Amino acid sequence: MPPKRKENSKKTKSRVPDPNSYLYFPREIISNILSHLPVKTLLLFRCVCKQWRNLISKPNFIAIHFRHSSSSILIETRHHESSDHVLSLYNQHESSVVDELDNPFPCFFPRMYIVPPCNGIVCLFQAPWGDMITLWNSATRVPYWLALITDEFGMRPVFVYFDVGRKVFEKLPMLPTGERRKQHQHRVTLEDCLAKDKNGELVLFDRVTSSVKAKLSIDNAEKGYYVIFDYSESLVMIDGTLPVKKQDAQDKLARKNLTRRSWSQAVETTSGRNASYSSVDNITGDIKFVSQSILKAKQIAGS
Amino acid sequence: MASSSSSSKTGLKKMLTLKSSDGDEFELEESIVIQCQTIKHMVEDGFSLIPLQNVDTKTLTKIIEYMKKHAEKTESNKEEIKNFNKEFVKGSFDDQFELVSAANYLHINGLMDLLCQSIADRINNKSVRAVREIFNISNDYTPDEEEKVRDEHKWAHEGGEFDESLD
Repeated sequence: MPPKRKENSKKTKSRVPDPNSYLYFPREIISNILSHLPVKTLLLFRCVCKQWRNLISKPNFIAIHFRHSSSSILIETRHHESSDHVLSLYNQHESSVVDELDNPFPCFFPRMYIVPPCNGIVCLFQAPWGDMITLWNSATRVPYWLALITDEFGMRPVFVYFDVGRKVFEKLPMLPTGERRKQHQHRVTLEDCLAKDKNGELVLFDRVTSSVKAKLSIDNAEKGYYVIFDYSESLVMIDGTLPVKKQDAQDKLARKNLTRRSWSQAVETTSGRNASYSSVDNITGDIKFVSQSILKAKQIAGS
Repeated sequence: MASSSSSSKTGLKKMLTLKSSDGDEFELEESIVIQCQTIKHMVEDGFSLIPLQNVDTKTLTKIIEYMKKHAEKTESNKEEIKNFNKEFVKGSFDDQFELVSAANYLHINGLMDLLCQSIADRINNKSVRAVREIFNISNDYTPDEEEKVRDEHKWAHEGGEFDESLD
């Protein structure tokens, strides 16, 4: 008995706030410290306490965090025969390791393209007319959702990105459609460029000094196609990963409320099958609805 | 006397006095002290003796050391400043928390960024439990709630060992 009591008292003792405690640490200091952490750590630290979890989901925190986020390089490669594609991330500051990302499209799509990232969100689509348009945050591993937009021109696919500061979806300029991109295409980032050496390996060049900064080894990139982009990770759409009960989105009342919003866009939740429409306005309140389409997309991906 | 003769040589060098919460006084050139926004505003309001009730002598000494070094900043001594910064952020979490509170109160933006980055780097690989201890946060989740939050981003909790140490 005595040992047990001892244990109990120890437990309560550690819970009693220490008079010199940092509980009174101003919120802005905590926010500043956390804004220097990578996305993965922040997702972990949501478990520390409720205050931290709330802080990490706040739009202004997400915006500050994105400004501190260090830049890496996103590489899309494709095998020239199978069209199997891989997305990888290369962080110049950490190591020369190329991390393969969990591709949000697990199945075979012959003509998938990638739009340069914006606020940490990558847009993947299938040419020519985006029968699959996906916004994907590789850092939070937010799975994808598919969007078609209805506006004054009727229903059409439009690339959209999420404006962190204003918390709204913005349309991206349209890419030329129907035009096939050439193989062996490479894009040049601000400072570096990607090329192949004579052994067929991908190398990262510094254009100013013409020196090889790193050799990148990506399995399926021997033959074929690759595109690189600058990428900074972000927490955008962090709440989009909250699980939502299935019946919520099927709830007609909820949908009615959404369609009443003024500036409305239709979001098609799947690629035709199980299509259900609803409208999404300035996102924040409706982000849970978006996550419903994530769930559906997951089911399709899994099946 | 020494300071007044040096000011006559270089023209007018306005001196200010900072007073810590322990009552110790530090005399410094205005050009050094105005890195600190809070003091800068007081100087503009005509103060020359500045009482800092939230900053004790130990912390203020460190902060003055920082401001003096950074006032010397030029194009050529970048490396030196970098090394100075590296040394400056060594110390216990408690020391750093004292400093970051003071830097926040005094509005020294450069120091704020330096300290926050350094604290972030140090907690980056820590376990949730260690972070609670370090920041003296009590867990306000029920076990069920915590489980739920964990499940939302399960992958972030996997892979690799987390550091349980508190330093």
